[in-house]
Amino acid sequence: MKQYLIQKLISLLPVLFGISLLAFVLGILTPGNPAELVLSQGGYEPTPEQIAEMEEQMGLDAPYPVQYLRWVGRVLSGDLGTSYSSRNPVGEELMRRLPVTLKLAACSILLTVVFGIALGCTAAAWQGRLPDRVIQALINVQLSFPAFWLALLMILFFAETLGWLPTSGTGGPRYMVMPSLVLSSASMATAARLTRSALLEEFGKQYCTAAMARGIGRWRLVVRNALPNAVVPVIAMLGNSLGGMLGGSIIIESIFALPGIGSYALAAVTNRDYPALQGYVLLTGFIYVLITLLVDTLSMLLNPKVRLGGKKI
Amino acid sequence: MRHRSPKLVFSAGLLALILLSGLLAPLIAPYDPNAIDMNVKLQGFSPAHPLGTDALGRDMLSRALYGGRTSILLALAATALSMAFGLLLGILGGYFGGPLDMAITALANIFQGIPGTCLMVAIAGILGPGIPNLLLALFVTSWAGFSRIVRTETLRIREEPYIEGLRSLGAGSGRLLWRHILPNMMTNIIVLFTTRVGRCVLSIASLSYLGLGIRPPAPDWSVMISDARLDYRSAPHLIIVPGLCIFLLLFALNLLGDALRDHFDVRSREVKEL
Amino acid sequence: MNTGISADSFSVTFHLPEADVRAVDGVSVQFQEGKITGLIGESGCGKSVLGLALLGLLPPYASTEGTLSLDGQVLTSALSRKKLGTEIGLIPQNPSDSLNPARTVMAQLQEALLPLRLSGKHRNEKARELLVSFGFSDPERILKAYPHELSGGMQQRVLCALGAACSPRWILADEPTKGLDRDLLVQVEDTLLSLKQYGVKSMVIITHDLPLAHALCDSLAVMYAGQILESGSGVLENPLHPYTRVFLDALPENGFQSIPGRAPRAGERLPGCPFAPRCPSATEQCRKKRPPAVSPEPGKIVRCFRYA
Repeated sequence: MKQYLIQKLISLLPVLFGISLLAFVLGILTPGNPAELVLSQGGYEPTPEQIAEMEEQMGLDAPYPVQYLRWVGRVLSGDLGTSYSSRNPVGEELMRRLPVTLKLAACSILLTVVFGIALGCTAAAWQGRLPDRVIQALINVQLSFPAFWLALLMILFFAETLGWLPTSGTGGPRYMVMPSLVLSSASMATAARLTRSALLEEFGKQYCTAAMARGIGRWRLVVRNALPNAVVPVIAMLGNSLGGMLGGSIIIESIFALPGIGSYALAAVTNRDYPALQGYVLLTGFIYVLITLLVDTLSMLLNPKVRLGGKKI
Repeated sequence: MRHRSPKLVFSAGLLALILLSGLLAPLIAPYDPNAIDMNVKLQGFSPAHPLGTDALGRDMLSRALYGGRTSILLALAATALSMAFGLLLGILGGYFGGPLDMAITALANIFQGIPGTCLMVAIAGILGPGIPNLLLALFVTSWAGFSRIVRTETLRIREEPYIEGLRSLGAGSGRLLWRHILPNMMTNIIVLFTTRVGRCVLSIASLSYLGLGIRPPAPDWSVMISDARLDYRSAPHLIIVPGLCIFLLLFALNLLGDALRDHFDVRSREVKEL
Repeated sequence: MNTGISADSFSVTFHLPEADVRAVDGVSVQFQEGKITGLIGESGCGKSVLGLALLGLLPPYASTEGTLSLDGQVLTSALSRKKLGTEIGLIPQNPSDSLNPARTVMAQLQEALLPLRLSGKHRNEKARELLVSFGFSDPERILKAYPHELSGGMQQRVLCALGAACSPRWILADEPTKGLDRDLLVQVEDTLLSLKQYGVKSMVIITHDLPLAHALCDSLAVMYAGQILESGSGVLENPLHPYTRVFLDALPENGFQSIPGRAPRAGERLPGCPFAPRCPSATEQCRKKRPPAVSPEPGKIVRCFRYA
């Protein structure tokens, strides 16, 4: 167990290295001269001498590998560079906005887990019957909704027509309802579908027949017997959807005006604020890797065979 | 042999209808999709404009008919491109194993290490909007997923006794890959392609909505929704019409993927769940 | 009054996408109360399907004809399900696959005891008691264990405890020796016999293990291609049906003589006796008509024209 985790951590190192390399290359691909870009913010026109000076100051004259190592060194010490548009450290700005995104993602993943698994269990318990058909249709409908369209429709209906929920901004829990519902819609459907098929696979196994032969009810068979065995692939999928939610938050945060890292990234794109964008890619990559590690650990802990080792009594 | 399921017929029919209306748009659209007529702006449904007009008085029906052309073509191209690349790497890694496999897997892990949409927005943002950059962003973020699935499938098929037998009879690697392993995963690839085209359409729509993909004034469904951001509260048809078009296209693709999965009786979990 | 389990022209058909498969074909048989009946036959002959039908656990794509009844009461699958645990219990095959890998023995035992509606404390006591009576000297440790921590023999005993938890009158043991080591076989006999002390009066043992059937069963029913060809007591000592004879000859201890020809494929239906194509003494009549059930000796029923 411990050994496996250490192995897993080591295997993540090249991925982290690759992500940093990818983020660095994105910086290089930036059209135009970064030194000129820094100086020309706010309509100022720098002279060639000023640009050359800035280039030297930013270390842009060094070969790429040297630049990469310097950059990694700065990143490791917590310096993600300075935003072109706000002149603030990118790291600080991202950290200030991260809690909003994390809160949104947490609410969405909660909705995904609760409704996704509940729908999947219901469909599996009534396989082939009306509840199953309805849920399967619902899953396909949910997967076909573009998030931004769903968001606009919900604003139109729940905020404009019914006036139940606030359109945008932050505040109490009411402000999180629509964004997290929209963000979780697709992953809820995926979780439901996966839960259903994993449960049906378990039903075919002998321990389920044996449990049924003890006269237990349908719901108990699904939730207490089959689900603990079916949940591992669902958890792996949840890790993936968390990654998807980080990406989806770009749209959701901008529609609902939430000050998270997603709307920050979009603003960075509009402002051509490349250090901010680079920092954003690095941060999301890092978070995603962390989630993957967490998911792996969790799935291992859920399997008693792995948790306790193969020892016999 | 199994008969065709109603689901398969329905989804294929719906998809054919959408594709056909896009294909025939120049013939059947009542107006030029970009013709501006400020005299009839923001109108509701009427005989002259069956689906109303937008803020610039452009005919919604004509724009809706044209609206899928670019993104469908782009989605097909991007999926085919990333699939071909992922297929090549996955099959080579899975079949030959060793350091080649390790290198490919590590590369795939890196590209999957950043959430797809985040990377896509960053790439499109840095390189600027436009079709070639959009294509690149889609390709970069989706080849790794294919390569991973194909690799697992190749590993599975490679272990089948008959492949072992063919190898011992002296069949060359190239022949084995081309004649036996590739055809063996064809059904999986078809199902995967269907669902992935849908996903690609969704990505293109999202990026275009954010202004990072297809640009206005092109008649595109997501551009239409994006354009309506200021007016949709008073004229909901501006987002309902194009949104419904995207929804129907995705619904047809999802349903078709489902029906194909049932039809081919796909067992691979990874293909099943995507 | 008619006691025990009886099947009357009972058939089970599976409706598969490729074809309809008749797994149990017009079976009429009696399992007497208070006796241990063995249901023997090669794998694939339909004996486990008959068992599932008895439990009301056939999959939704199966349909039945004829009737099964318990003490004269016709068993629909819904009714069978109601009797599960309390009146009919199951000891499933393959002990290692039949326990839930993600739950402790305690959790599974407590669940099996639910129909008794005991209080929490009593339920725990009863769980311990059950384990002790199935030969565990240290129930505490077993209760906390997960199935993978138990040996094959222990798993089987836990499954017996689970099946007997609510003291059902009937136990159906499905291939109790399948997948177990040779040296555990003796243990299985003891374990199954200890069920008797637990209020289980009657048993149906589905098996292809003839020594076990011989040692435990009061009477036997021989199944072939979905039909019961011979049933009653003393089947092994004095086999009447030609199939029973060749089946016995095919045992390792009797010289391993293989049966000529092949068993009918699943779903293949012959107009006459299903064994006719492989029977050494088959006649034209055997191939054309199904032999009637006759009783050439008291307590025995055979379906063969030789005795008609």
